[in-house]
Amino acid sequence: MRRDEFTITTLGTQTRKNLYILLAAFFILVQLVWVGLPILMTVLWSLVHPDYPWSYPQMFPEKLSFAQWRFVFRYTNIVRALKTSYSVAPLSVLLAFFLALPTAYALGRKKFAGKKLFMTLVLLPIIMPGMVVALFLSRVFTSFGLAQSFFGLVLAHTLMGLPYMIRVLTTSFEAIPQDVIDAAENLGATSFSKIKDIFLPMVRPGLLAGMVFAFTTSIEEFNLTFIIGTPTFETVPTILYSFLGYNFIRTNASVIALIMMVPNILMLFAVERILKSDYLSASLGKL
Amino acid sequence: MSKLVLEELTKRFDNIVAVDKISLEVAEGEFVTLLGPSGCGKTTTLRTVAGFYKPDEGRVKFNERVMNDVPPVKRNTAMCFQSYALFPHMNVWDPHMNVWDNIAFGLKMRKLPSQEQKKRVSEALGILSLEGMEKRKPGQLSGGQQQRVALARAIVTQPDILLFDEPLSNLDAKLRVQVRVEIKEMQKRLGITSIYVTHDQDEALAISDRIVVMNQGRIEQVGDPQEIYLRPRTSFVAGFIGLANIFKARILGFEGNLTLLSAPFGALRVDLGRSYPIGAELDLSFRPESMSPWTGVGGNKLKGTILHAIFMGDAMDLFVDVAGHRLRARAGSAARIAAGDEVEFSIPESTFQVLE
Repeated sequence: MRRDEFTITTLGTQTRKNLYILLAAFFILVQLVWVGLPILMTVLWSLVHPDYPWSYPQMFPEKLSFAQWRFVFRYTNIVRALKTSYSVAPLSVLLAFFLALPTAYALGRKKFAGKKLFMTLVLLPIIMPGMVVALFLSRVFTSFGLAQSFFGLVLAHTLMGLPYMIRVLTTSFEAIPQDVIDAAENLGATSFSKIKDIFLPMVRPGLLAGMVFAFTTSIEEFNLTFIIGTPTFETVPTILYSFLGYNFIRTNASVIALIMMVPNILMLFAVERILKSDYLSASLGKL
Repeated sequence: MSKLVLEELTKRFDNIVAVDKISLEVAEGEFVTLLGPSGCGKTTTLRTVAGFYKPDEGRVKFNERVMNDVPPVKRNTAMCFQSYALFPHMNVWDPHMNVWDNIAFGLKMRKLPSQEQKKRVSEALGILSLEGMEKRKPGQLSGGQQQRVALARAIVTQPDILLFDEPLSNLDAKLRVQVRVEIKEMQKRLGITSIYVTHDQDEALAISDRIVVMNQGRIEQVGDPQEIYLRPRTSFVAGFIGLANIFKARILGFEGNLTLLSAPFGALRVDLGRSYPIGAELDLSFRPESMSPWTGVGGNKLKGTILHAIFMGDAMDLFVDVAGHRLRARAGSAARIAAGDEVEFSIPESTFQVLE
């Protein structure tokens, strides 16, 4: 009797374990298809030969070529757009960093009235539809003479990156143990060395994560750029959008999508590595 | 080195009085422990001395200097934290501070010449037997080693006052005993005035020159470890430090130096060291180890029924029913006593303590 009960329960845990593995495999597969398939399709579409259109029921394009890539680089402003994108993004990240750091410090380490409300306000730019923000901001920018200017573009991108930066940094600041700050103060650390030796290094993971978010947001930003920047300034996404909609050309859009996406993905992997080494160091010791 | 004086120190947090008019004097080189349950105000007192809190009333003085408005950075105290609070990072680009960097931090902040820094850090490493670990990261050390690094970091700055905030609570029992001996030895060798906060009575008894027992923001009793243990003045002290049998008794009369009492569990002859009016009611206590099986001579003889007999290795812990009153007693570990036995006990006349 007892023996039977025992086998039933072990069988139960065994099947449950198998079920978990099966479920995990299923979701990993779904993720791979979900994320991997579109990327694979994009790559293939960007390599379609102009003389051999890829159509149903073909599984793969009949012939591959770099003709679409040559076309994009020859007949669009992609090079200038890349220059604009990759100079606006770092500048807006830098600006967001200097604006977010003191804000996040105050939110993470100080007590004041209305803190909760402020935290929600900070998120508004990413909660509101981008086109809505863009429409109203363009009115403000025009009256300040910032529309169609490079600095205006940087400011607009900073606005979109700031919420991520502030939220992530606030969490990092909150996570610093008060004891460590007290210990530094107790050992004679000045405000400057407290920032340099304690705060900045300890919020480093958050800082990197926030910067990546802000950077990718800027690279992919369309609404604000379209309304405030074009036609004076074009970025990679505005060129991408020009191949969508009424003038829909899938092959060229695929090329530009890849140009936009690949550097972002590489950067994400790089930062992930740096962050991992931070966490693995178990830097706080046994707490 | 400094003398520390607290004068009527009061600290409130949103109308909750954490420390209530505490006055205390700590001599140069003395090791004083603030002992009490959590929420008694001991840590608040310590942090006020360090300067992390500003007193609401009263004064903190190092020697004759009033420190109330001196920021922690300028106080030249050094604190050891329960969490060790070692610095994990060096700067943004090279994110790992090793043992050496941690110990040298305070010296760097004081802008000492690097020769002097080297000399002092090596010395501190030697004192805490951390040689060879300079290049390790805090995360690669055991808890005991981390706490030793924290100690080294504290003493290397040659502070006027060393502050300890439950530094051993995160260590396991064996290590706790070992490190507390090390702390005591180091403090005596360097002669630095030390304030130590703990809720562990054994630790306090083992390590201190003097113990300050605190409860609800006030000082209950100040005295050396023996005094605190053997002569507790309040029922809180008697109950918090060690085990105590606490009871009420009425004075019946006198017999030479001895006072005759009527206690709930029988008549007692006790030596109180002074006289009280006949008929007065007193709160009294005695330690379980004062009540042991009758050996034929002296003391008060009581007969009781054993409720529980717990073998502790070095002794037998007894719960005894004496005339309907529960008492704790002790017997040697060789004693053959079991629950249900009727046993005669003796309590010496001089072991009773009057509580306020």
